[in-house]
Amino acid sequence: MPVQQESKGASAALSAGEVEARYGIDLTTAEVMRHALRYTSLQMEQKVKAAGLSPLLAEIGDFGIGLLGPRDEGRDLDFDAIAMATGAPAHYVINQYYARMAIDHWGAENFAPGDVVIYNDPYRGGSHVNDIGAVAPIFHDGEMLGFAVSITHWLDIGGPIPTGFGAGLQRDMYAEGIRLSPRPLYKEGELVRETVELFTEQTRIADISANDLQVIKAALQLGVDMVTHYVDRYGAEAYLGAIQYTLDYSERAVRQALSEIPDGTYEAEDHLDNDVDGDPMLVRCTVRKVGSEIEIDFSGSSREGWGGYAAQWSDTVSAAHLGLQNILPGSIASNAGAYRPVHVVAPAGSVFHALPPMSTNSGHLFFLCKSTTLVKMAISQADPALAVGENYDDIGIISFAGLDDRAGTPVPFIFLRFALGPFGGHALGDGSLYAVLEQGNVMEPSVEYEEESYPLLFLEREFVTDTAGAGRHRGGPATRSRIAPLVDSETTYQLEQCRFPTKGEFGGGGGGMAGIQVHRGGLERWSRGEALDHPEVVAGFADPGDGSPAEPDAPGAEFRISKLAGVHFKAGDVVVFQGPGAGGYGDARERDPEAGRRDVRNEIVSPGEAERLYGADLG
Amino acid sequence: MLFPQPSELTIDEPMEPVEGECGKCGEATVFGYTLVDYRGWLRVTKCRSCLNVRGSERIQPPAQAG
Repeated sequence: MPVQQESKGASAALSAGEVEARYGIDLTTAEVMRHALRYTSLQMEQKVKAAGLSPLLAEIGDFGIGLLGPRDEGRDLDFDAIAMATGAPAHYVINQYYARMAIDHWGAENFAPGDVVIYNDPYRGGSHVNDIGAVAPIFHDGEMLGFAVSITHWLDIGGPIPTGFGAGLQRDMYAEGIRLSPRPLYKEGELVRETVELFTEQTRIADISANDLQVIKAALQLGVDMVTHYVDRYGAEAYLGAIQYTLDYSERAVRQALSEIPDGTYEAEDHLDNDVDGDPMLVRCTVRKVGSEIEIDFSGSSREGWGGYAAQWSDTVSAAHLGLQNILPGSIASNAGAYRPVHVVAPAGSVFHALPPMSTNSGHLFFLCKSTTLVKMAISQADPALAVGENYDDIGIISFAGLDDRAGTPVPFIFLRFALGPFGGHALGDGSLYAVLEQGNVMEPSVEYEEESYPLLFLEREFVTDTAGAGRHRGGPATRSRIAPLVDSETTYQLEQCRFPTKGEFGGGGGGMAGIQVHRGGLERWSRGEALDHPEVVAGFADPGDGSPAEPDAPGAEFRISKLAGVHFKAGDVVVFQGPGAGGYGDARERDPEAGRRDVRNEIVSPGEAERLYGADLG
Repeated sequence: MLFPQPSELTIDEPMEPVEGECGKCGEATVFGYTLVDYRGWLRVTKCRSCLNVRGSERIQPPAQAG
């Protein structure tokens, strides 16, 4: 079964004669270089994974890396992103703003071979302070041909909250940790000690930082060297022509795909579970599409909120690009050319466009995900073939930090897990059961690795029966993890859809709601083989009397905020982290009975629910 | 540069009607507003019916420009 719609239109390819005339290179060289640029970025990615110490880089792959072209007005090039690796698209798409603004701030004319400049100020086209941007210039015979660039997620960036995600506690940007305007990490190949010391003295991960800052340099240098190799072989003129060819190729492919979507105005609306006071936050998106032009407008969304409830415009725009790319037919190489047809309206002062001094460290994730999801939900209205039920749409996180005393000598630890989850049903089939969001495209470390590395026990990670949104093609089910810290720990959690469940499309049903609970001291009972009981709601709807789980519409039920930092759990508590189920596609009564029976066998759906939803005895 | 939190609960991009019809589709009103393209911020004069851009200029991001 195909997993993606196929474009019905013409390809993005030009004839050999057209390529020669437009770009001054033969078609073979153009295609070799188009793929070589991509290959170079993938090699850079491997360098980080092989040498990084931080689990976010080496295990999870939470970074983006690749190449920018030069600034060349005659060729209509302006430090455009020309090739990015596969990992963490949220990082590499944002480079179109983050890297360019850093280069302009530092001054393109001030770079020398061997320099690396780093930065992490979100208000300069970035995302959040944990995302460390870096650029290294590419020179050939004294001519600047572009930059090697990276964004790497730092496990800790100082400030009051381990990991940096401080929903509710970081009122403004001054409470987020160290924030760096562009500055040198290397000068002509020499490490700048003062810059390294900012990380080793002011974060909780000195050893990791000392290593990984040099890993950034090594990976960027690999990109510089590989581009130099290709320029030596083909010449600078051919290289520049190939950049133009590569960008135009992706633009043509996106315009072709856009032209196949019916013209119209499409709207989507959703809510974030809560702001800092516990009130829902409205988010809206209107997509206007005419021919091969598209405008994505976030007007009508809530105003920015203190305590981390806002995102940078650059995050919002990049996430909107990802939403569009994910719903378009075909697979289109992501580079600046692919983004040319897209305009995004991000009203200043809204949750999608923070203004200083708002904190965006947590909101980065909330609204990055909402942006992508809203675009997909809006375009779903345009054509049933493109529609997809709503997926889990926050990069849910749970962290534990404290002192690991398993080896006798207490050492600080920071554990951070990005929760994967389900996707919605769509025209071609059921939604994925457990995958990473489009913005992430990262790996989940094994439970064995995490139990070895941190004082934690994973008691369970299972799909939850009767949480998948019903439909002709159902959504994926929720996943529940039970985690027990072995030492007293400080926790941050961020989770969405604990208040507003996912929605289906074209008659499909919504998924089950997410939530976090705790069994105080539950590990002891579990180790005796006894059932865990008396859960207390941490995030979600609760009975205010005893904190036990409650239905949303139960009299007096209270909603407990689903994003908080500085929460403490004791050694031996069992924390239950359950994501949402995803929305279904189409009428459940049209579901293939064999698919329904398979769901029952796999305990995705219980026999009773199968009969209720699908109208047949599937047990 | 620091900004106060907006007093409105929801935020719309201000749309300023600009004199003259759309040269492409003939729509009576086009609008001046700000948006982001693949290279950054623009102040555009644009038709919201056919998305034709009548004029545009690069501007600083609001967080930098105030």
